[in-house]
Amino acid sequence: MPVSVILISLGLSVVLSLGLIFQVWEQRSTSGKSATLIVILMIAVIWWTVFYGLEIVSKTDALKLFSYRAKFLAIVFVPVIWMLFGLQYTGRLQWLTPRRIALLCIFPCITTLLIWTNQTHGLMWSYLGVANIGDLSLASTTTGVWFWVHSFYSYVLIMTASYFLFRHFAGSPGLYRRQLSALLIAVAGPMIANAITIFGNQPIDYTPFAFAITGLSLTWGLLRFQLLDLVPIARNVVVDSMTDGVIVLDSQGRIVDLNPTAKQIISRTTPDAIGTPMIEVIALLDTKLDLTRWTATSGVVQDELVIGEGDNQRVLDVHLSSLYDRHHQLSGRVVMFRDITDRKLAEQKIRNQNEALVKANHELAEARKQAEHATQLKSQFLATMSHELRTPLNAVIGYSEIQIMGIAGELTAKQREYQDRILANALHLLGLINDILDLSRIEAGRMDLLLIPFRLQTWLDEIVLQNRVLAEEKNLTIEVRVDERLPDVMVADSERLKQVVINLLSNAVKFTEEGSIKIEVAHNDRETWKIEVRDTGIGIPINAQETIFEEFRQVDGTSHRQYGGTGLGLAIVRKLIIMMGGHIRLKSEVGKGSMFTVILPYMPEIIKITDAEETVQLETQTI
Amino acid sequence: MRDQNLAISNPSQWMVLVVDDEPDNREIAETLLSFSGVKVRTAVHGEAGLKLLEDISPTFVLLDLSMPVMDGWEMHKLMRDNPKTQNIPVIALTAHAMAGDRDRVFQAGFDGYIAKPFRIGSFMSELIGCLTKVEGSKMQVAK
Repeated sequence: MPVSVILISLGLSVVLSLGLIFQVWEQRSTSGKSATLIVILMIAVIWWTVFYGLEIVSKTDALKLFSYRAKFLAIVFVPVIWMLFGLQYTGRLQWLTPRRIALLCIFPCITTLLIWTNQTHGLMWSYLGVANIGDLSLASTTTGVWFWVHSFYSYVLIMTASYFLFRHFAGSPGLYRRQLSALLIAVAGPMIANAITIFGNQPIDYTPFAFAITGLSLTWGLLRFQLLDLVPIARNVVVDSMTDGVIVLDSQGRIVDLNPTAKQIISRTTPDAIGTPMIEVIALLDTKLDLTRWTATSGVVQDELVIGEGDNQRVLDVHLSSLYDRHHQLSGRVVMFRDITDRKLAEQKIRNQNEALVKANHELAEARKQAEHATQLKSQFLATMSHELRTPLNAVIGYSEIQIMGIAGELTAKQREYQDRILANALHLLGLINDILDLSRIEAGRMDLLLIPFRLQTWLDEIVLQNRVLAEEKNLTIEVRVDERLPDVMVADSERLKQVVINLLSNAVKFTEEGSIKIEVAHNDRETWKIEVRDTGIGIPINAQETIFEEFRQVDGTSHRQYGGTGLGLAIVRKLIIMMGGHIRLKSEVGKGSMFTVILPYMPEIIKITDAEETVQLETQTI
Repeated sequence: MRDQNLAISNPSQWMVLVVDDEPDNREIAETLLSFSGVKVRTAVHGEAGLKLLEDISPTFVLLDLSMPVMDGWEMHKLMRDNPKTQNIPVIALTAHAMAGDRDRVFQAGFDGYIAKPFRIGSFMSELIGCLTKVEGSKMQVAK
């Protein structure tokens, strides 16, 4: 073989290897350690090739022999690097500890040591010299004992790594198989060449030439099949480390593969899973499951498995889907288990909370119903009370008046006086009953305001009319003034408001001996209007001005006898005004008089005009 | 019309049926009406009142509402259903005197409403007021 051909072949190997290094280096970031190992492997190959080249072209024997020895530095380490690549590529990462790598390097290191000390012991080569073969002048050796140890070790490593790769790819789909062939060609080429060299006792080492095949094959694998991109181990690592269980079934539904999570799930009931029909596994896992869905021959099955008891009980979401090959034939199925116990517990918790909420709502509604019922009963009780108290009072008042009128015969002066007393007390009692019932109804929430439009002037006239007789008896004048800015028609519960003003006005008349009483109705501010009732009466001391609005309060205990009244009027007045969205103010000075001011909104908040007809009717009644 | 108006303002021409379960209330009403010259008939509940109405045709009925056997609401309704009695004015005389009671009474079709306890001074004028509102065609003058 001409020297030039050999050198060109070696150069081609170097160029291919360099190109490969460049390629792989570019992908280093995505392909990780496998790429780094390929780079190291290629550097070793270049080293081997370059020193082989130097061995050939060197002029002196000493240089030739040095190059021959230097070449072996790569030769001894290539199997180790290949082994590391094999382990890395097939996912046996646990093997790749520094300790184990160091262990793998022990033999190569000893070999290297023996190579450089060979003159002293001849263990590697019993003879090492230079011989001429045709045009070539190369190192010529007679192999020693250690050489065979080294060769044996190297082949064991290369074969083991190749076995790992082969087995790894054996069950993989098409693309991975082609990757495998690229890798196996890459390793088989130099190996066969090397074997021919060693066992055929060839003077020329063909191995470096075969590295051209390695470089070509790896480049092919790299460019065509993304050798380093689609590292199959990624799939295995992902599938094996998944927290979801994955089981692969063949087309007959038997288990052919499963990941550790799946194994853990089914091992309790099916320790030896491979080959077992999945339906049996499922039936054993959850005896309560409806299996009819699982016998379906195609499509997707989704189900929930409940396994274990008590606190160990787990809920698994199971998903079965079919796999089809490129001819749309069922090639197998994949079962995915996902532990959804936590999610189920969370859902249960939410459901419980919801139920509790619904229950609480129900109880609230019940309580409200009871409260409404209680209010209803209270209201009914008040109505009955009112009726039952008025009925006997009718008799008392009726008989008194019959006697006073003399219908039942003439009375003596004393009898007449006592009958007057009976009547006065009966009427007082009637007033009390009316007021107490009013207060009770306000407090029971049973007094509804009926807001209607009413004519202010007519309404005021009616109020004054009711108090005029009493005022005239006491020689008091009642002056009425209406602010011109006010509209003619106002909106309020006119009857209840009339009750308020009549109460204030009759108080004014009652507690005034001389002077005048003024009612002024006026605009107050943008949202309110006011009714002022002013008298020139006895006035109210400062200390009583607050308490006068409380129930059963008059200025003092004696005024009741002197002036009459139930002591409930102002309490009712204040409560009614508050119900109407307004408020009442009092200004008074003892001996000079009092002024009550009622402030009311123009637009009362709750307008309870539900029936238009009724409203019209009531309005016409009011006018 | 003239005769009827005269009859309204002249109680001595009235004949009134008082229906009330309370003896005191019957007594008071009867006493007051008789004192004004009114001819009075009484019944203790609605059923007795209806039975009496088979024989008499009063100027109007003074009707209590809460009574045993048959209450005033029921009696009023049955009177309105009967052609013979449907035009007789009915005035409620009741201790149901809370807000809304008056409206309820008028809504049921009564011709008047007087709350108990009533005052003698205004009793007769209230009765006349109620009757004046009733259409003249409904009035039956006692023979």
